[in-house]
Amino acid sequence: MATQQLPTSATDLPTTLKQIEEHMRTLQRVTQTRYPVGQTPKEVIWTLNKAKLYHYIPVVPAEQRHRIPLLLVFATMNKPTILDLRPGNSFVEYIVKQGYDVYLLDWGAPGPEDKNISFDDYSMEYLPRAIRKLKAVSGEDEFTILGWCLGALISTLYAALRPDDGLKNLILLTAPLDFSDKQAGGFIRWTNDQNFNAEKIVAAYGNMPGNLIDYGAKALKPVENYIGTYLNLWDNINNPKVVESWHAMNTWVSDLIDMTGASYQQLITQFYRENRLMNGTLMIRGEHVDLGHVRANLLNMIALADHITPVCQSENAMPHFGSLDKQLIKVPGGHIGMMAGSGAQKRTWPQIEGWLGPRSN
Amino acid sequence: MTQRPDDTNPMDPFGMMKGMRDGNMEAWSKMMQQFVNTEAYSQASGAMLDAYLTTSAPFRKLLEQTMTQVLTQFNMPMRSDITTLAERLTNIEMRLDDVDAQLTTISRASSKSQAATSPAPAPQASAKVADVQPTAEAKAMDPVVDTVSETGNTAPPTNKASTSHRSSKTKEK
Repeated sequence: MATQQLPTSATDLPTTLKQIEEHMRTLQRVTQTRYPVGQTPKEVIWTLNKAKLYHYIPVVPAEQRHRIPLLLVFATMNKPTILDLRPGNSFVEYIVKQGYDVYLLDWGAPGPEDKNISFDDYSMEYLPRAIRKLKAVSGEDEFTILGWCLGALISTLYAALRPDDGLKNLILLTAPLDFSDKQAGGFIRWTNDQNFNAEKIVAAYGNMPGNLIDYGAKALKPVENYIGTYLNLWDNINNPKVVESWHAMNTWVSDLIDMTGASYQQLITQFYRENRLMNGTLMIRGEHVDLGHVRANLLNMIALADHITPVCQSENAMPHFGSLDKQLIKVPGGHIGMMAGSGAQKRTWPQIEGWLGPRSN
Repeated sequence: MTQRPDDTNPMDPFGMMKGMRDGNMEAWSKMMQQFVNTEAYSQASGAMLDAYLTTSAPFRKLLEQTMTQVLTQFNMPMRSDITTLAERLTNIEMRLDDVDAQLTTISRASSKSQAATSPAPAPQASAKVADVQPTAEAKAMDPVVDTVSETGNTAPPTNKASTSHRSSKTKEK
């Protein structure tokens, strides 16, 4: 505990002051410097505009590796380094060690010139091209996609529109797909309010500013995000492990990127408000999106304490998927904590590996 | 001097504050979560954002017009010019990406046909080639495959060989 004791004798005073000074220095370091997130060795094998496709250097001999490569697709409004947060607590490091040929699609940080990029472009232009490169490099025609948050939404669109493209397994983490319950969570309430005008935001800024998105996410749990997290750090400031973990997470949380204007407007209007994906009225690049067309083996993982994508937004979509092999798993934790929290390596990661292993050879 | 536990030490205001804080934090957090999930909060935050965007719009427009005039006077490109250029660059990148993919396909097809027409190597060497030949890309990517392929193999790399090599892998965990 970092709780300071008032000196009970004159001789304790210098020690106490020194301790406080040390704690303040630690506090300053972890709040004002960047932790070197994303340390697992990798190389860039493809780029398009701001997007990059990384290939992680395998650590398991080729003959012991799983045949089917794994592509990780994270959300568009945060950096994918959350998947490779720090050595010893990195999903990428874990899954590479399990013998998978792992690729990661980083959408990059959009600039003003990217304001017209929509989900149509992400799912039908960027993702298919990255997959084409993945196939060329891995030499495999089949592959697995693990999509998280909006990355899961993009992966779902792709899986429904290109079911014959070789997608063997589809893993969705906290996928926001069904927006029929307009009372489920703060986001859907706020964005369905008549005063909330996504068009106006986009007209003013071009892209949806990262700090506005960050505010929205933090405002859902204001006490935890604005006060609790710092108190937790202060309480554990003598514990280097907790401090390191906090530093890494704070680096990721503070690494804000904008969301392209067109995709933001599409998300609010076509998904949050009109629920087009579930209503069967969603058109992407002129093609009708039908989840019944998804044929890949499906694993849908939901975080029970997810305040960003409430359970019903993922769970209710399950019957719509056409996959014959589909499974829903609910794990403890929040939207990010389920994959990057301290319990993730005991709960979530082994479940993913346990499901994917037999389907990757 | 022996220190008493935090919760009973009257000389430790930090410990007492922490106790009080922990006691109230959960209730406070729950209350705030309920508050931000109310219709009233949705309406208020939406209205505030809308008011801000509406009132700041004329200033943004004025700034934009002024910048356009200034940049035009100085013969400098405007944001829209840079944006257009960037969009054109992305389009060129996409075309290059297509060309790259087509070249890869052609190169593979050519390697396959070359391998099919070339005389069969000695049985021992043939087995070696089929087993370990990676694609150029796989070689670049995969240090393990690369090490194996440096065993004196001289035949041109084929994707088929690489695929068969990978397909023959067995999972050992």
